[in-house]
Amino acid sequence: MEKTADEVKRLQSCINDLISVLALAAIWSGSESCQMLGTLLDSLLAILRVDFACARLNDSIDGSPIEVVRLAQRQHPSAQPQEVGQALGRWLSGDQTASRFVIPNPAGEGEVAIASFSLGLQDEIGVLVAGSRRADFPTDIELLLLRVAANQAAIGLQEARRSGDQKRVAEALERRVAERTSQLTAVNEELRRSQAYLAEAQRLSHTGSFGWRVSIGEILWSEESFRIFQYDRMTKPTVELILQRTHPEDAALVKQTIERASQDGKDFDHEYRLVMPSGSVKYVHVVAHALSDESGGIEFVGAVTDTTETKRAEEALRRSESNLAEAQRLTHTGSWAWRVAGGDALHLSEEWYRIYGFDTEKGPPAWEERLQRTHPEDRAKWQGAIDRAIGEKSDYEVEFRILLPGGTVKYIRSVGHPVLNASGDLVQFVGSSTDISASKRAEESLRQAQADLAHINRVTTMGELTASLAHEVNQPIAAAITNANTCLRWLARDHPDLEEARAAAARIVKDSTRAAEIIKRTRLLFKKDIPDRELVDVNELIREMIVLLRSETTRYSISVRTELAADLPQVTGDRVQLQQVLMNLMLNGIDAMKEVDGTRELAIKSQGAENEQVLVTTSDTGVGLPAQQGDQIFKAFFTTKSHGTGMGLSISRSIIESHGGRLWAADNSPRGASFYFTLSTKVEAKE
Amino acid sequence: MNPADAPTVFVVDDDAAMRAAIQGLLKSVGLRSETFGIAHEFLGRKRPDGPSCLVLDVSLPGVNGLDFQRELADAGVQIPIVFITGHGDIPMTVKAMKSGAVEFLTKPFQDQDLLDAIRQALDRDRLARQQQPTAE
Repeated sequence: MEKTADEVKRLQSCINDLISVLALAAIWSGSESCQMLGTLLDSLLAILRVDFACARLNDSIDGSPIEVVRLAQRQHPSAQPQEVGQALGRWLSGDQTASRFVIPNPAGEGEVAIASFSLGLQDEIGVLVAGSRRADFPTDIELLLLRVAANQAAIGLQEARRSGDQKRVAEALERRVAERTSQLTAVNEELRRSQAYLAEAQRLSHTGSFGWRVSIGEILWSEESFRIFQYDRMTKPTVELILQRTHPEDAALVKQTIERASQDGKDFDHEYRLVMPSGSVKYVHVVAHALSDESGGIEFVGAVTDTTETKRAEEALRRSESNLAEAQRLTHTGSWAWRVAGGDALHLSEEWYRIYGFDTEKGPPAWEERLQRTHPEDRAKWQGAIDRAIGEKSDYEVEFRILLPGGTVKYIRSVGHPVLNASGDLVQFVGSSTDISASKRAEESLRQAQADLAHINRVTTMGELTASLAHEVNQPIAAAITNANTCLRWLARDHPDLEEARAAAARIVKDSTRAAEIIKRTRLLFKKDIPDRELVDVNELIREMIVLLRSETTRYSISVRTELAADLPQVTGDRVQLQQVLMNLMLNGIDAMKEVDGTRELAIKSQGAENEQVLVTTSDTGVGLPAQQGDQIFKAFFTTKSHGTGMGLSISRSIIESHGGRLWAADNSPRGASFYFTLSTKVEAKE
Repeated sequence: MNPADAPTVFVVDDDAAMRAAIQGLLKSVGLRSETFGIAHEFLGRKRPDGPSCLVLDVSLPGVNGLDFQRELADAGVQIPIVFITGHGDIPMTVKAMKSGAVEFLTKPFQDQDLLDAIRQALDRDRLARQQQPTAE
């Protein structure tokens, strides 16, 4: 009986435990696998008198196995669940169902008996192991409870896995939905932005887009298209509206183009003008591409560009080009550019062709042809200037003549400027060539007129000097006659003195030569000649002129003093013209002293001056310059003399200036006047 | 003839060729001469003991021959003068002659005319010198 009572008690306890184990399913419903195993092991420790329990779950969500270990409270406090798990490794990995093993206690002293159960039919889910130091472990009831617990756990874990899978699928789905949603948002944003860009690009490029479904007569315009045609955005675009805006002169052609396109269904491209409500005119360029719409009808897509500004710029460019051409024509200046390597012309303006007499139709002439057209006498000069500029990478300026096939000769002034590339190499020359024939001819005739005037001045002056000049020639002639008579006297003696006769004859030769010399110089001054440039010794000119004017100075009891620099450099100039200047200045000085009492001295001085110049001064002790009239004395027809022409100083100044010098006057102290002029000793580049 | 009594002809002309020509002519007739390019150089020359005369060019630089004639007179130098000139005119001739000139010749002159005038001048000076000691 007592045994039966114990049995009943034991069974009751067992049933309670079973209920507890079965209740676990309700507890862990909805839990994660890991959490579920924890609960299971905790319950087993509480229900059974085991020292530890552990479970292994084969595949978790991330694929690696999970091991959970629980130790009973009474176990050695230092025991670590990890060590227990490791010690049980062999049993946790294999199927040791319902077997009893005794192993060294992994969680304390002595030995433990362990029991292991597979979770699932072939432990595909995992393994459950429990251990106890009791020798009777596991009892039949413990085995039963453990098996039931294992089955419960297998079911729960399978469910958990299933619901976990479902959750994962749901989550993945949700994620994908979210991804797609954000992608879509991005695409929408991109679209919105690119539409904004497009609108902006259309606005900036003054290009609107359009679509035109011919069959249903529907026209779609972009914002810019509305702006170009200046219609309200709410307006429905039609062909009629387009034609309304079209310039009357272009309307017929536009209408024809549109009509033909709507019939042929072919691409079209046309330019025409619009007249805006304000009356202003716009240029538009329309390009359309034909497509077939879904129903097989004709559809066009295209662009309309406002080309007004381009047209205006083109027009301005054309105008400035035509102005330039006009300016080149008016100034007879052709522009050009040529490549240093090979001498090919990169640019030759129309005026250049005209000046050189080449045909624009035949294209730019080669270097050789251009060289051929240069006047043979000037080719070396031209080539030399260019070669020098190439060598020095410098500007050049050269005057030369060209000889046209018909024999026409033109004077050209070319100015070239070097163009260097980034590394400083000379690549080309740009510049201009001006036809200076007209100004050359004008210069020539001016020079002639000045020469004529100077000649008249000389002749007039010499005319006034006739008496003086006659006296100057008379002097050696008188001496010669006397010497001739003397010579005859020596010869006529009873015993002719040949020695003395020869000496007299020698004097005759000397005197006659002197007379001839004076006549020659006088004649030179009378000669009408083209101005000539030569190297002139200024001191020699002064001495010659003093001789010519000696009678004049003597006649008025004027003493002549000279102060001539010994090392004076020669000047380049026209000898006769420079002599004329000296003559005019010296005669002025003589004139100024004619009526003056006291010392009459004409001083002539030559000296070197700065800038490689020679300074010549003629000073007198005469009446001085006319008061308050300063520079007036150099004006033509200005004179204070009763017999003067008023040309002398004016001509003298123009002669000196044409020699690159200066002529001026100043009063002397205490009386008289000085005239100064400079002459350059440098050889002038200009002709 | 005593060399001290030999006549001397002074020539003042700014033209060297003219001076040489006159001197050569005088030499051919055996007359001694002294020449000057500047009038005032003659002023500094001591008069010789023998008879002398002056051949004077009218156009001289710095001073006119006629003015020089007066200058000589003012200085008490009494010497017969034969004027020669490149461009003489009647008023000038008259003025010179009135002031006591022996002759006024225009260049180019005949050699004989100059020699005649010089002889006449020397005679006049000789005469003046003969009269002078009586006056003293």
